[in-house]
Amino acid sequence: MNALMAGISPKVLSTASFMDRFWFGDSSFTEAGRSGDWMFMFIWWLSVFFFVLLMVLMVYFSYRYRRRPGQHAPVSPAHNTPLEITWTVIPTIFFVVMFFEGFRGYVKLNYAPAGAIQAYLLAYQWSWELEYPGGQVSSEATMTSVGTRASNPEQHFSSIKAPIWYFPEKQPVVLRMTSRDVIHSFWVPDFRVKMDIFPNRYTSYTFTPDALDDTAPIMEDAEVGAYRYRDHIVLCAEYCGDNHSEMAAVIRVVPREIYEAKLEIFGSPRGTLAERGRVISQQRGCFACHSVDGSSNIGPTWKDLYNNEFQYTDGSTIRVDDNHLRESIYEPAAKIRVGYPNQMVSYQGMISPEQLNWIIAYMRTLSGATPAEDMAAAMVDPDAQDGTQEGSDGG
Amino acid sequence: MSTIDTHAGHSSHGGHHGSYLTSKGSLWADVANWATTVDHKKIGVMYLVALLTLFFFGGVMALAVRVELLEPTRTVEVAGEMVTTGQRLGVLAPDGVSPNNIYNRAMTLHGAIMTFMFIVPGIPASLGNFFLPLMIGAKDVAFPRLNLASWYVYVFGSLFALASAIVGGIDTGWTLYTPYSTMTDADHWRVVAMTTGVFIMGFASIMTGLNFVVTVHKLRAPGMGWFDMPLFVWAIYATAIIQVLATPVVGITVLMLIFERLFNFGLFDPRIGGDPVLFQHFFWFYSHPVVYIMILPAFGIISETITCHARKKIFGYKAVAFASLGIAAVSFLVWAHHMFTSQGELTAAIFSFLTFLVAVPTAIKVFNWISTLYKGSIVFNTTMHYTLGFLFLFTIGGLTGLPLATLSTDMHLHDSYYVVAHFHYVMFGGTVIAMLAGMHHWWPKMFGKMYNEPAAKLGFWLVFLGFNLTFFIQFIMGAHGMPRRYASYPDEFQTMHIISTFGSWMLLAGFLVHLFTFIHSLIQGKPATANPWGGMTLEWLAESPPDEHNFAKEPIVKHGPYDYDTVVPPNYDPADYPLPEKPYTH
Repeated sequence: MNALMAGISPKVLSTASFMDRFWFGDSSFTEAGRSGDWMFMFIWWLSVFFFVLLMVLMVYFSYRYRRRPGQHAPVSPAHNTPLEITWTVIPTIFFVVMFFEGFRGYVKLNYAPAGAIQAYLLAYQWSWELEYPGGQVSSEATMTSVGTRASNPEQHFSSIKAPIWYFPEKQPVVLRMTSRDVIHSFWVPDFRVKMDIFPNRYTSYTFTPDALDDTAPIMEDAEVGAYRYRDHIVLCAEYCGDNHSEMAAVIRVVPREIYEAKLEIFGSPRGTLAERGRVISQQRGCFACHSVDGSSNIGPTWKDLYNNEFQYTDGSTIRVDDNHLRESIYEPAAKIRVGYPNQMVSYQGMISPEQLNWIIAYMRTLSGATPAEDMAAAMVDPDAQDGTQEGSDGG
Repeated sequence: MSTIDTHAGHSSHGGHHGSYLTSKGSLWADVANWATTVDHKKIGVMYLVALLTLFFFGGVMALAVRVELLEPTRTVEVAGEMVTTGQRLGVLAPDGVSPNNIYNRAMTLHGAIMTFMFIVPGIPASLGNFFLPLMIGAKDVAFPRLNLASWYVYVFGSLFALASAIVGGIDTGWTLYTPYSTMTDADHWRVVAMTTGVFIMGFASIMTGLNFVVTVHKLRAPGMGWFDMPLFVWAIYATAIIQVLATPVVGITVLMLIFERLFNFGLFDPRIGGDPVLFQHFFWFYSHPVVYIMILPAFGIISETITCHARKKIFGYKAVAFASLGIAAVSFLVWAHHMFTSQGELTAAIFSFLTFLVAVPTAIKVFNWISTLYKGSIVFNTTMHYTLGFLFLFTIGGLTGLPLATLSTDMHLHDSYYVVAHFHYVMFGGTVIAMLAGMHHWWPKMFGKMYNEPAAKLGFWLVFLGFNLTFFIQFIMGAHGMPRRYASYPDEFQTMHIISTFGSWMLLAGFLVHLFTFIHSLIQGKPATANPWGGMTLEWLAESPPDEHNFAKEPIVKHGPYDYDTVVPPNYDPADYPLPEKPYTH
């Protein structure tokens, strides 16, 4: 899992035209997106033509008919029906063309071809969780170097931990989306389409990423081998509160066999309890609000949390133990640490009791105050110890 | 002064007895007089002062937002420690509050103040109040007491909204989208205070609108038929109709939002059975027509300034007048184009089509204005600078709206900086620039003083260039993938954000120059004659500043508002601004 926390791919500017690069930074990476770009350029050049025409006339008239002492403005008609009809009809024709072509492009952008992968996307303040058709959830995230046009490897996008979602090239995908709290919006600038996500209904988002070509960079991955990939940033485009601008993700387009290998890995967390806990925490978006390095964020840091005492808003002082963590994850509003907002939602039903056990194990390893025997228990790998009795430790 | 008196036919310089600005003796008498006045001119000036004060607050918020965006937030390793940089406003955040929250509040206040408190009441309540009765030759508006009441209601509502800002502000965005606006700030009353303020200010808007509709219908001077009205009057009339019809909807909407928050009504919050999209429909059913409440009066001003300073009849008078009414009518049918990314394809198609329908009369107006320049006698004073600046900026604003009305391109550009740039080109490049054109055009009439033209032109160039520097780059940023309302952003946008922020400082410099020229004019300005530009509309028959009762005797309309090429105004002073020589022909 050394791809975890790796950077986003550096992108080589492809065959995009100068105007594509001027307006969009690059050409789109879907067929439907390119047809939208074509429409934009059509409107752009038409607008440039009419703008230049109007401004040239305005400047010419202003100069030609500037006030001169002693010269009066001649009487000229203040009305000309044929001219007025012409300049009503011509724009109307262009507008009708734009409307129809725009609607055709809209259909292309929003309707998935047959045979699309259907994935489920849950958005919440301030991250998202994507569940593959088989129930797998990506455990990989990128921490740095997120840019929408990551041709510059030095780029940073804040300190966000954006999840990485793998999808195969040339494969139509449909996301069935809903929100757990407020309205969000799913925008992949590279695909030129966004769709709002509501708490009380499903909306869908579709894309068919282009094939990877020779310009795509190569990722060295210890688990699945080297492969070509291409990254597309996902941004939340509907204002959703404090960390709206940190709500991002990465769609990583890879060859089909890599996609399948990744799903295999995501389906079965491995390693010690603590390692599994870290994977689950990542998948469930805990790091959107909690740091593990002691830095301040929306929620308390997990560093040195376990088995230390803290002040709570009800006046009590509590030593963080297993039961307190269980309560804080399943009923977060029950006790609020002094200095932090009452903002976390319950993870009851989203984090299973077994996964909760793994997360607590992970938190133990992050604290210097954890007793030695607790620390040792967190470092156990159940598969290595008990591999013959598959499922015996399952919840 | 005496030279001016001899040039002007009758007493026509500032400060003469009987002017509405004449002091009542003591400061207290003046304060009492202004506070209880029913004179539309004083109310117009009081609105102007209140509006510009709020514009200042909204502007400070905008500058704060731009300063925050100079740098993205970065967490970088410095000497082995992780350090977060770039949170400029974040240092103001108290413990337990996200640094982004301060940006979100500044962004919300900027939007809420500028829309609800400045640009919606803006031109109609200030210049409209002052000039609508003058331009139709009336003594006052139809209901002078209602007019004063509307000012107090407006100020009272603003105080509610500002109180919410002073105790911490809200972070909902000016659009107040549910369910965020019903969930945020749960322990406080700030969202309720702000929305109550908006609710109250709605009544001021309705009162003004009602007053203007009746005034236009009943108080026109003898001889003034509907098609003898100046186009500014047409525009204010169309605006007033929208104000009366649309404003109740925002009243209902914010009232429902308040009830939702206080009593859990379950209208908008899905956790208690509501639908957040319903709120968007309600909100935009008002807030789209309101866009035309903002822009139609600007169209009216431009029709006045371009004709007066080009000495030309407006090209296609009826087309321009009916375009105003047409825009007002269709404006009620396009609300859902703010929701292309949140609804089904049928609604999207219908509203995309209706949106293009609004574009037609808007385009016609621009063609008409530019044709008006043809064979004119154009003078390049500050007002004309702003008028031509309006045509430049508003044309960009209009054309860049086309990819937003087109469904396939809007799916990408929606809720990005492209939209931010587009509506600033329309609202600022359109309405604010036109308001500045109107203020420079009518300043001598309002206060009886001329201003320093070279200084005002410097102000124009700073505002014009600063505005383009601030906002043109935002079109490109948005198309590249920069979403709106982001406290932080990917590094690749930093250069563009820096350019934009520099532009905002230039804009600030331009406004400071204007503030200086206006204050300088009030203190030391040369007295203005009754008709310094040689205008044909009736307000120029009144003194500068006008008498308390506007006209010495009721004017009788004998020529059209724009008969510049056949009639020369009787009371203009050629020493003030040389017009081409021409015999009197009326």
